[in-house]
Amino acid sequence: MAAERAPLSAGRLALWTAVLLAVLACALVLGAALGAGDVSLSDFFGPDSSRRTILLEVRLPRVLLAAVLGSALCVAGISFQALLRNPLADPYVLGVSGGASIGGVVALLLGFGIGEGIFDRIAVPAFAFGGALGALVLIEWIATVGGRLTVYTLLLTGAIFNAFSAALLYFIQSLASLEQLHAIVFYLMGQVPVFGYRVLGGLALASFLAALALFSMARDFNALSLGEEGALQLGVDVERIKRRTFLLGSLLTGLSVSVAGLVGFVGLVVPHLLRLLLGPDHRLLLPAGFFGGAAFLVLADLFARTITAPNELPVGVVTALVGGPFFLYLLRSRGGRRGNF
Amino acid sequence: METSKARAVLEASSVSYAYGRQGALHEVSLEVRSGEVVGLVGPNGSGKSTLVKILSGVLSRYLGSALVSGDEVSNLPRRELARRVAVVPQEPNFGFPFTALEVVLMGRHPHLEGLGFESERDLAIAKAALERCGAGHFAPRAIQDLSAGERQRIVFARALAQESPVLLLDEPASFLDIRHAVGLYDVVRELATRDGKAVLAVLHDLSLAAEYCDRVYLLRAGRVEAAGPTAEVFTYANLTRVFETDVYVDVNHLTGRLLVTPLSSRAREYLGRTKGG
Amino acid sequence: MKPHLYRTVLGVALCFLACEKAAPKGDSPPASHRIVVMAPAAAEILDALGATSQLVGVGDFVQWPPEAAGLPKVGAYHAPNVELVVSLGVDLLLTTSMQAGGPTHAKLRELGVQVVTLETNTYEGVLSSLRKVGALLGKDEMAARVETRIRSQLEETRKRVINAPRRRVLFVVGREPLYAAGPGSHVDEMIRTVGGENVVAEGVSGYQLLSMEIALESRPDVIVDTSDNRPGAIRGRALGFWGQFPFLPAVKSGRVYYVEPVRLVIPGMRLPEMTALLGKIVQPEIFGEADPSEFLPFDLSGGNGGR
Repeated sequence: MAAERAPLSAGRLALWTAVLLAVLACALVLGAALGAGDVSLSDFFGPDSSRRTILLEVRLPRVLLAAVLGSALCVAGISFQALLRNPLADPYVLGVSGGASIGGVVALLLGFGIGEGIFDRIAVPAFAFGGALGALVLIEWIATVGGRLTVYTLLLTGAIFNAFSAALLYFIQSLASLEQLHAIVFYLMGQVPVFGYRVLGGLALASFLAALALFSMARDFNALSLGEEGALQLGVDVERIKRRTFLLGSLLTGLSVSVAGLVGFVGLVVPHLLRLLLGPDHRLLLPAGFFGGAAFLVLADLFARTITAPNELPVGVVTALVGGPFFLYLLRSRGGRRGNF
Repeated sequence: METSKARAVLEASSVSYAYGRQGALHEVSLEVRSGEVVGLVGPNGSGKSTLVKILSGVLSRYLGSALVSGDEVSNLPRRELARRVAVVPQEPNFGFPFTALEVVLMGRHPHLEGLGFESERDLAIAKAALERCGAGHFAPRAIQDLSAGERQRIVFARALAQESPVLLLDEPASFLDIRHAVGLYDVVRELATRDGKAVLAVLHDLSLAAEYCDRVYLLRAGRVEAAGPTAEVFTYANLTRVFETDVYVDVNHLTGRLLVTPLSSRAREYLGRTKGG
Repeated sequence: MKPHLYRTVLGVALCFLACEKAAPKGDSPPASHRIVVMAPAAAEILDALGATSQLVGVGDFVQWPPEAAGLPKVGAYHAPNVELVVSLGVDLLLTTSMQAGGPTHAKLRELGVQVVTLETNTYEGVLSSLRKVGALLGKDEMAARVETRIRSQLEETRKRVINAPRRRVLFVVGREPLYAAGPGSHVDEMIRTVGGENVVAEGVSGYQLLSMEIALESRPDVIVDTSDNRPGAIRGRALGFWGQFPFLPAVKSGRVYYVEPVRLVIPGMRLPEMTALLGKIVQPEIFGEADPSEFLPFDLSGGNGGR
């Protein structure tokens, strides 16, 4: 099956960005319109202020946060895949999520997370983000040998760190009380919480800036697919690119895990799908991932909160249940080809 | 195209390198002028690839001096170095399913700014490079779908698209059949004589080296054993000493160029018997 | 030599048989047991039957009665430490039916411990558990008396609310994510007993992850929130977290209560007391307002409720 694709032009980028932005807009409207209950978009204009409150204070923030998280995870996934030259990498592979999980769980153990003061609301994510940063620093330090960030060592360190975190989490869970256990398990399953607009705005801004910085390296990511040596010989400052990508991608992942736990497959399946559809040129892939990842998670979260109404599913469960089989299907259908993408 | 043979575009002076697993180099001096095809030959581990990496900016902690168009390689900003030196690597590496044309377009990377949407001119250069390598019809195909030999030609085209005055080749035809290998080296010769490029080629095939290279450097264990016009360097004494195996050196009566034939044990036996010891 | 050996072996074998007979496997209930309880409900049943002296060990989460405090802890609900249990000479282990514990229970039975699971999710379940344990300990009459008392107290409560307005109650047991008591939990029964209507009327039984939107749209008249069991948590009648939804009837009338879980959520012999407390919350006009100390953990309510 030939690729049959012309090189990327500014026009094509603009076209696809517009298309995916439209898809995201539709997803947002759908997410805002549908929910477990009866509240609908018309309630925004309607006379019932309580329904408007539900729409604006409970449903909309959650939909918007899903969009922010989806774009963060997808962009992080694409970046790590470029860094590691492997389309099977996901945002959690480099170990930052392990640190975030531990941070979040420690906060839960200390009893934060269910009060209503502003500190309580952000305590768990704040601790988790601290854990993510700690992991990031530690992993980067370990993987830097002789001033150079070795991708191989990075991958190994991340894997070991994840394994260690998982073991530590199991240990913590074995000591926790029943209520704590419950909170921990659900935190780790991946849940889109409801934050106020200020926190949401801050997260969106941070995520957008990080994504923008990664986007500026898009052409370098393309060159990086030729190998570090090949990229160096084309004039790419490979060390700087590697370090920046690791940092920015980990930041996006850390933010995401801190807030929502481990939501899988957004950073793995969506990049892969987009790459199949649009080609591997990162100048298109990154913006596409930004909007496509957002749309994906908005829809997944919509599913998670309506399919078992009045109950809810953790969104990480939905993405895994959808993403897993779909990914296997992708692997099989493309697996016969040499190169296997 | 004007070829100023006096100017040494690529100049290594007493370059030494001894870090990590790379083959070491000891006081290697070398120069390539524009319009020349210079061969770099030697046994495995003699430091040929190391030298190529130093000259292309991959390895930066070397002793001595390596100049490209008069500037020290380690002082040049990477993009500038990439505009001056293009490398055709030994084993092309591809992480993602780019098309052949997209790969060749990456050769324009050092010339582009920002998001770098390639212009009409960039596309034209890339397509011309592909045509020159006889790979024009591959342009829209995914690189993963091509054979090793076809990929090697694409990578060569990419180096051409870089439009650099210096070309470093590391076994560029190792996967090519004789027709395509000769085709590639013909293009290499053209790039030197017609376009005035300075070409340094690492070769294992000594006959090809003899056919295409004006001058040759013979490396052994990181040192230059011999240097000069190919006919002077490729002597029986030099080659058997450096490669530690028997070779037969003769002149190709059709072309007037040297022909180097490594001798198998059977051939050596035969020669020993007929020569009488 | 041989005949002597034969007799020795026979003698030893007879001894073993005799020892076996001396340790009965429970054909008829002996006078006293060595009991381990894994769940608070079971501990309460023993206390009601006056059998706490037979307790030799408790599960990790059993903090009551006071006699239990000094006893060795044998593990979490579903995972009693087999070695510990056997070394305590336990012959009866009481646990609830909620917890998975198949392999461990099988092992314990193999080692001669009688493992009895009690269903305590519902009123009837609690009462039948009471009867079951009563039968095991040979205290059938006492169990019957306790059961009669409980039933009459509950019936009394039901009578008082016959003409009361059916208040819509949201009973929250967890937040982030939102967990509420649904049909199939004893809380649900309690709500109905005091003349309330559980806003969670469908879905997975027991305690379920509830959509916040649904919770809000159900417009509860009363909210009971037992989600926070940390030492410094808010207690009593206060708006707290739910105050951010002023359109809820419960918030408008100030009928939001933060209660220590043990006061309402642990099913057991205190069913009448728990139901009475819930009655004060849901129908204060009939039962009177609750005393602030009733929302606190037990050991704190005795004194000034301070920390």
